[in-house]
Amino acid sequence: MSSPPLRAVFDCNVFLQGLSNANGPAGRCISAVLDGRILLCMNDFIIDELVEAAESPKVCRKLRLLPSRVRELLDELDKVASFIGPAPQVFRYDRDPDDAQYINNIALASGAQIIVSRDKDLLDLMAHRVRRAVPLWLGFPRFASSIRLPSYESFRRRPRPCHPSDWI
Amino acid sequence: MTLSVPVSPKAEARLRERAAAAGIDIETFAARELERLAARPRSLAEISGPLYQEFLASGMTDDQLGDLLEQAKHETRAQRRGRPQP
Repeated sequence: MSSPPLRAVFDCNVFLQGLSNANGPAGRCISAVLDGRILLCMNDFIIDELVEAAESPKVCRKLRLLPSRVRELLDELDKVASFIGPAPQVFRYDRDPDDAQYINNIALASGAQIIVSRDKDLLDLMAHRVRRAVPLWLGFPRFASSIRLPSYESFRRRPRPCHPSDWI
Repeated sequence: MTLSVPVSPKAEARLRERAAAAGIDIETFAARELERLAARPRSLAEISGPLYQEFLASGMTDDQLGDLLEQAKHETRAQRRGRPQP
């Protein structure tokens, strides 16, 4: 019997980077989702960020990315991804509260094993866990670093939203 | 195969609305949506179409592309935080 696929959360930019360069590491991450090798966990926050980022004038000008192309990708992901509803805020990250959304509402709530991102604020969280961090098995370069997450229940047991320093 | 599945009144209303907008009955609409969900996803190369050629023509490296996207994301977040909350 085959093992269940790795559960992962992708930063919204992984989708945009993969759309532009399907042969690059971000593109390989998305292909792994479309092939069923990774179970992608998403929620409305990621979709909103993705759509907003795709509409940024800087991105439109450089990448000539049409909103319809993003919609097509979301339609395909709809077939394979796991969509997560609202979850309680159990993790706080003052350095960038939006990054906490990836952890709180998506990764912890969905039981994801990794977050794929090249966001420095998120990657710095990994430093707290670097000894336990596992390399992503597709052999992505450094940006696809993985953050191994504690269980959602271990966060829920805490009385208040916790800081990264509590995460060690 | 015929399926009979419970849906919430809210979901039913939304499905009826979308079926009406498409000019079909709710059963046909639901069946089409299930067929769509069961279909094999297209490959990323099919979805992205000419974007890869555009990327190559831009002369950017993949790292530069990533940096551009990170910058745009953080600018968008800053703008969002600056907007009054609904």
